[in-house]
Amino acid sequence: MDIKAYIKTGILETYALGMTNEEETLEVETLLAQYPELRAELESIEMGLEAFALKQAILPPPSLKEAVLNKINGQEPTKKDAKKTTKLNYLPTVFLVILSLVLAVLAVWLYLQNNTAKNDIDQLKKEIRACEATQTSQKQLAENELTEKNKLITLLIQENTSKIVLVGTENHPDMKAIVYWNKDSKETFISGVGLPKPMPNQDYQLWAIVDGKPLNLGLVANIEPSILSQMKSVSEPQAFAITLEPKGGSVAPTLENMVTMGPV
Amino acid sequence: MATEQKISEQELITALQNKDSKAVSLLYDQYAAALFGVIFRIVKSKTLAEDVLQEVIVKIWENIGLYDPQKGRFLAWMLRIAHNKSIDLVRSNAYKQTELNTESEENCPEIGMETTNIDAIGIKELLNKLSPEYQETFRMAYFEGYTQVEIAEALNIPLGTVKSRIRIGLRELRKFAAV
Repeated sequence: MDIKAYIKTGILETYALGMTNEEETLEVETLLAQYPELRAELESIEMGLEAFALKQAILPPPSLKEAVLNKINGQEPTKKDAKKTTKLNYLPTVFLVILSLVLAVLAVWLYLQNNTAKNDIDQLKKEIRACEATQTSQKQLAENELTEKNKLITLLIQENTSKIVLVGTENHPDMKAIVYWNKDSKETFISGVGLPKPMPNQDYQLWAIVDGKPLNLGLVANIEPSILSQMKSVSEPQAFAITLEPKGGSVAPTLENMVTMGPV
Repeated sequence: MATEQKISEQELITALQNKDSKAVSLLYDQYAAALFGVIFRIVKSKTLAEDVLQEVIVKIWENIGLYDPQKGRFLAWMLRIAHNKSIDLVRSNAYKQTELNTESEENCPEIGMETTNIDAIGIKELLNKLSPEYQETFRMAYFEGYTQVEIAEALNIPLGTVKSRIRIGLRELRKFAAV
């Protein structure tokens, strides 16, 4: 950069007079930062202008100073005040913001907690009701069972209830069953105490011999020793017999599969 | 004098940059007259000059953060602000409508105002030492707010000539600084 040539263009004088446009100003200021010779030249020019201004200085009217100072002080507080005010204003705002955030978070948390609690309560209520329902039905069942059992016992100890032991047939000597039959009510009960578990494709079926003919009294579903199952009622049985039938039972007994029998 | 001024000038600038409003009082005491002189000779009205001075001081206060010693001297920077505000005013439509037609040199000093320096004549003399064309160019640029392009057109001379005349005119001013 030919500084001397640049100076000769008179651009520095134009700048010193404040007459450069934006572009020119930027250019000059950039170069000033780089070239001490430019700064020195500008310094001389400016000193001339300053001296010129000082030589033709005019004192403004005394009252003007106050007006100017008032305008400035009205505009901007001193740094101290500014600092103080800013600090004071700043603190409560920050505090409030933080407080609101904390409260907001707290509120949300409480709401969630409450919801969870509510849900838990509802859940517990449901469980209690379920429990109660179960209890009630269990109680009912037990009561029903008891009533039944009582009825049964009453029936069994009657004089007119016969106990008929069905003994094993030739092919099944070890099998046994007991039938209780009441002369008056005609009800039939069976206990499968001596019957082994049948094959999966088989069922025990109880028959009553009436007038020499077999009558179906139902399937012996339950062969637990302590269980008495009620079968179909029959009027005048001559004998009872159990046969092994295919699962679901048969219309007529398979005589070869007779397992037990007993006369009344 | 230069060294003294520089020290207090630096302190002054720092104080202003720290927004210490007491510094404005000092600034005013030291420089208001120099600024006012320039302003008044351009706007040619006491009332208007007072208004402009106020605006200039406020602008200095607001823009002190922009002042960079690498870009020029402090007073020169302030004078540019004063100069530009004054020129803006005289070029405004409002001002042109209330145009005051007195010549700046004859109007100085106005009745009721004092100069700090009775060397007003010295200035006239100095400027008179320049040949008329330099005087005229300088006056148009400095006091009347013509742009260099406008001067070239008004005087029917090349822009380059305007620039060199201004250069020479300003060079003459350096003689004041030497005093």
